[in-house]
Amino acid sequence: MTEQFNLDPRLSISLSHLLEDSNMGRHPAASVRAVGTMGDGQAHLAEEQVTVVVEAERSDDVARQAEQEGMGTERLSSSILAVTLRLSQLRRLVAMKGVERASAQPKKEYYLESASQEMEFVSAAGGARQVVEDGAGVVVAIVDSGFDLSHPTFRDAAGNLRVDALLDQTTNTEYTRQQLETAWAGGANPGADLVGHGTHVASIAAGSAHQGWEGVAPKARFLLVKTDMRRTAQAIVWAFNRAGAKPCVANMSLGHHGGGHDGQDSEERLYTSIAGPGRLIVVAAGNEREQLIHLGGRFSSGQTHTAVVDLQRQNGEPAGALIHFWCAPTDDFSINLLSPDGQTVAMPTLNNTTRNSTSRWDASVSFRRHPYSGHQITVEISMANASVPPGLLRGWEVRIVCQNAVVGRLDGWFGNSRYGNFRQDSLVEKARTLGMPATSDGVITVASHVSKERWASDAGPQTKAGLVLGRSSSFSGMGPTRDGRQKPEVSAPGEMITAALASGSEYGSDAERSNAFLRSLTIEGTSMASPMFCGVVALALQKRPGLTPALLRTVLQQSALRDGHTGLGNWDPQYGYGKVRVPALLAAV
Amino acid sequence: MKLKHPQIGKEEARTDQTWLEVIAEPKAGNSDAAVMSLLASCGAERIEYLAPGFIGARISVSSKPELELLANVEEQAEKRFR
Repeated sequence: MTEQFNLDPRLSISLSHLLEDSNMGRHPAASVRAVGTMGDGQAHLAEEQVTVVVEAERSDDVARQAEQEGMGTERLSSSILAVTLRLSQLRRLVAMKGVERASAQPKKEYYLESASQEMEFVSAAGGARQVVEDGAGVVVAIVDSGFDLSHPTFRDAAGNLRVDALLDQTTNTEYTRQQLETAWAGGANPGADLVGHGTHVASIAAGSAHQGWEGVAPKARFLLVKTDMRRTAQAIVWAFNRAGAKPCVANMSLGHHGGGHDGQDSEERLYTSIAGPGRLIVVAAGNEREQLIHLGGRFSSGQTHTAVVDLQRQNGEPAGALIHFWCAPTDDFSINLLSPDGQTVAMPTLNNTTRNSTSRWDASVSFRRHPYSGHQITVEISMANASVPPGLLRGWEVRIVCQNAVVGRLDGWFGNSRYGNFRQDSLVEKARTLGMPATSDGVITVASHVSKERWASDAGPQTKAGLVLGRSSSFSGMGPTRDGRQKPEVSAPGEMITAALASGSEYGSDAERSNAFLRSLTIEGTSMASPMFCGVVALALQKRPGLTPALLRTVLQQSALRDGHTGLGNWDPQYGYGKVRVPALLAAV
Repeated sequence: MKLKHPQIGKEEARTDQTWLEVIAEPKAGNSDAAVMSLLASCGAERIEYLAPGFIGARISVSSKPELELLANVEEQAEKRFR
C-alpha cells in the first residue's frame, strides 16, 4: 500500500519532517521538501500523532470541523491554527472547507540554547540545565511595554499564572493575580503588550518552558509593570514593596540621555538608596554606541571647538534636537549656536535662556546649575513644520569655548536619539554612551555581546550577516560614566535572542523576526541582554537571598569570563568585568 | 508657532498648565512630610512617598517655583526601550 501525501497542493508536509528530529528549529514553511510517500514499510506510521500548522481564512471554522473529527486544536490567531491528529487523518484535514495551507511543525530547538550554552548553565550539547537554581522563591519584576498573559511563558505547568500582580501605569490600575486570571479569561486583557517588547523581555528573564525553550529563572514569580515610560521610579518602588519578604530583582530594558550620566539625577540616586540586600536592579546599557549622540573631551582654558549637528527628517513630524552639555561647576564654558541660515543664539548667563526664532525654526540655549551634576547647558532646536528645506536641517554649529578650565571636561548628549546627531569629529566618542538610569550606582548595567546569528521565522530561516560570535554588539552602549565609574558591570547575550512573542503586537507583524506558530520573536538589543542577566541574578538570589549590588559586583569580578574579545584587564568599557558565566557566578556568590 | 517637544518626538507646547512627573527631594532642613504637604497644597497629584528623601508626584509647571523653595524638583525623563 502506498499512501500519497501530496494529493492536495495546499499540503506542504514531508514525512520525515513530521516524524524525525531533523530540521530542528527551522520553520515549516521554509523547510518544505518534496512531499514524500508512505510506502508499505511505513504503514504503521499511519497512527502516529503529529501536529501541523493550518492557515485558514477563519481558523474558528476549521477548528470546529477538526474537533468534530476528534483532532486536537489550538487557535494561534484568527487565521492560524495548530491541529494535532493522526497521520492517517491528514488528507481529511486538508480537505476541510477553508483550509488554505497546512505545514508540519518541526521539532524545536532550545531557543535560548546558544545564549544558555554561552552562559554555561545549559550544556554545550543543549538540553539539561547545569545548575540547580531555577529562581524558586525569588520575585522577578519587569518594567516594560506590557505583557501578553495568554502566552504560556507566564504560566506554570498547571496553566496557572505565575504573575503575582501587575501595575498598569498607563491606566493607574493595579491587578492581583486572580483579577488577571479572570480578566484575561474574559478577554479584557489588562496590561496587554501592543509593542511586544515587554513580553519578550519577561520571557527571557523568567519565562516558563514553552515549545522547547524557557527563560533563565523559570520558577521565579513575576511582578509586572506596564510603564508609562516616565514613572519608572514608582514602578521599582512598587515592585520592591509588593515583593514583601521575598528577594526581588527588577529589570528595566529602557533608558534616556536627558541627564548628567553621572548617577546623580533624582531617579538614579533613588535607585542607589533603595537597592540593597535582596533588592537588586538591572538596567540595559543602551543601544547608542554608533549613533553619534555623544561628544566629549577635556579642554584647556581658551580652547575652542565647533561641533556640527545634523537633524533628521521625521515622518510627517517636524525635526528637532535637544542636546544637554555638562561640565564641572568650577569650569566656565560658553556655547553659542549658529543656524545654517546664519542666525546666532548666544550663550545666556546662569539660570537664563536665550532664544532665536524665524518662521521656520526656533532655537534656544539654556544655562543652569544642577544641584548634583554640575553646570548644564542645553541646546534645543525645533523646526516649525515637517516641510522645512533640507538645508535647514544640516549644519547647525555648536561653538564651544572653554573660558576657564579647572577640571576642563565637557560632555554632551542628544536627549533624543534618532532625531539628530553630531557630525563625526575628534570629540565625538563611542565611549560614555551608556544611557540613564544605567549610570546609577544602585543598578547593575548590562552590555550585549553576540551568541547567535541564525534564527527561524515566518519568512524562513534567517541569518544576520556580519556578526562575530563572542564580540561585543556594535550597538551596545559603552562606559565609563561621565564621572569615570566603571560601568557596564557585565555583558550578556543580546543578539538574535528568541523568546516569547506577544500576540497582535507590533513586533508580530515582522515576518522575518516572528514565528506565529511557535509564538516566538527574535530581536536584539541590550534590552535582551539585561533580562538575560536579570534571570541570572534571580538564580543568585535563590542561593543567597541577601545578595547586595556591591557583593554582586565583587562576584562578577571573580567569575565573569575575560577572553580574547574582552581582553584580560579587570574591566573593559564594552564588556564590564566580562561575560556572565552562570555556574562560576553561582559558585562565587 | 507650534513646537515639537524634541525629547519625546511629539508636539508639545508647554504652558503653566502642563503636568510634569517629578521626583521632589527636600532641601536641607525640610522634612519629607513638609514637602508632601506643600505638594498637596499646590494641587499635585499622585503624591507618593518613594523612599526617605524622595517623593514622587505629578505637578503643574506653574507650581514648580513654589515647590523649589523647599525641595529640588526634577522631572522624570521620558524613556525609550532598548
